[in-house]
Amino acid sequence: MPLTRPTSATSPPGAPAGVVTPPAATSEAVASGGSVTSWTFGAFTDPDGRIDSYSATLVTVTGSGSLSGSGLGPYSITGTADGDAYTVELDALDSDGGVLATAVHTIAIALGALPGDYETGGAVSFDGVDQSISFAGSVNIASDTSTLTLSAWFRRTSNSDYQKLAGIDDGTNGFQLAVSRSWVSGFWRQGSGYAWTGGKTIPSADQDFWIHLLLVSVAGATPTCKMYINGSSVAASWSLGGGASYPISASAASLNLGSPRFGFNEYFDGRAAEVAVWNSDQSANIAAIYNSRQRHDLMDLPSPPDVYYAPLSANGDNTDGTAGGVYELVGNNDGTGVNMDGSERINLADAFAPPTL
Amino acid sequence: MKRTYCICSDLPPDSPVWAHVAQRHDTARRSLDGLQVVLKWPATSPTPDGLPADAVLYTHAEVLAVLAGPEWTPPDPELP
Repeated sequence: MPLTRPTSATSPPGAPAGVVTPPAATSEAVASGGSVTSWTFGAFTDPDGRIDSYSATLVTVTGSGSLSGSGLGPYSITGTADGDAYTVELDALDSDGGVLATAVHTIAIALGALPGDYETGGAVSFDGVDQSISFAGSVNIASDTSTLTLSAWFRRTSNSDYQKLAGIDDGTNGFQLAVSRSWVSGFWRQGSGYAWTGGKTIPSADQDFWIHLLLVSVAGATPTCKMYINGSSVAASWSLGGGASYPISASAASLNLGSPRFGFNEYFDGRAAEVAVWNSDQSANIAAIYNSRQRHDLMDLPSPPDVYYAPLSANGDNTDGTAGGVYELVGNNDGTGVNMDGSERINLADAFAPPTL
Repeated sequence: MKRTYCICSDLPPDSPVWAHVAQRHDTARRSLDGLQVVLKWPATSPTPDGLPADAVLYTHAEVLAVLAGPEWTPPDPELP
């Protein structure tokens, strides 16, 4: 069950005097299993002194931890593990035990290396310094002028400038998903030239959550593209302009994650998951691919991907480039991690917390 | 995993430092002029012996700021 998004402060406008209101909901992400760092709830607004006591309830989303603490806190949860998710509800009670208001604290124990993550879902974390995953010869483009669809989930972890999340190229020509914390764009390269699609803004409230992107590059005399963010169309037909034209060489096309094989050294700083490529225009299937943020197997779709890395499961010993790195589900074109030490694999406990876009 | 990052003069392929960092000699990221290299190792591990005298240690956030500079990243193309 995905985590719910923290709500904002709940003091209702125009509320009558005497109404008890809870503190704003809070949340925290814990980097590894074990005891959760203790926290204390903020004070309730209680103008008439109606609060007699507090009662905390651990709502376990995933995991088997135990809650301890009293009053407004401090509280802690012990016995947690990577991938756990919890919500703690604190009821303010009157002298009769009636609930006056409820405060909420959510916890995601989301990080940490997970062995054997292939079955349970996973993502790969890139540090933005020098890490990438390459998939030489992995993209089965039918012809040099194929229409391609690239789909991926990502989550940025810093505020730095735009970076290359995923791309398909032949070493000379290609296209990529370029992302910053606040916008996404398509980026085409033709030899030494390039073209942007123009950026689409990600609302600030959604920038700390996983974002789904789907980019369609429609081949033709005047190439165009379509972009979808979280299942919604943000560009129905962008013309690349400037006489831009690729083809990407079918025999040399490769998928790359985390950095471009060409371009401007923009290494991706964040997490990526569920990367898929279709050798066709999949814009008509965006609802099924996005699936309302619910995790699913794209291979179950009527039009499954031609290339599919899901989950991204970075092999722990891929630093030297000799191991598989990331497993591909269709053609066994495993990727090779570059400058990774195996700790980049993370679980998806918080991957699909639902932003509204 | 938290890592310690380091920027220093490039190292020869046979430097013993490579055995203690996450990168290989042929995959490590160099500055645009090729004279400097960025290295990293687990923050819980000791600093490798044999680093050049000009080595500077950084946190992740600090090294990202350095790598965004003109010595490491070419000027932006036209932004959207």
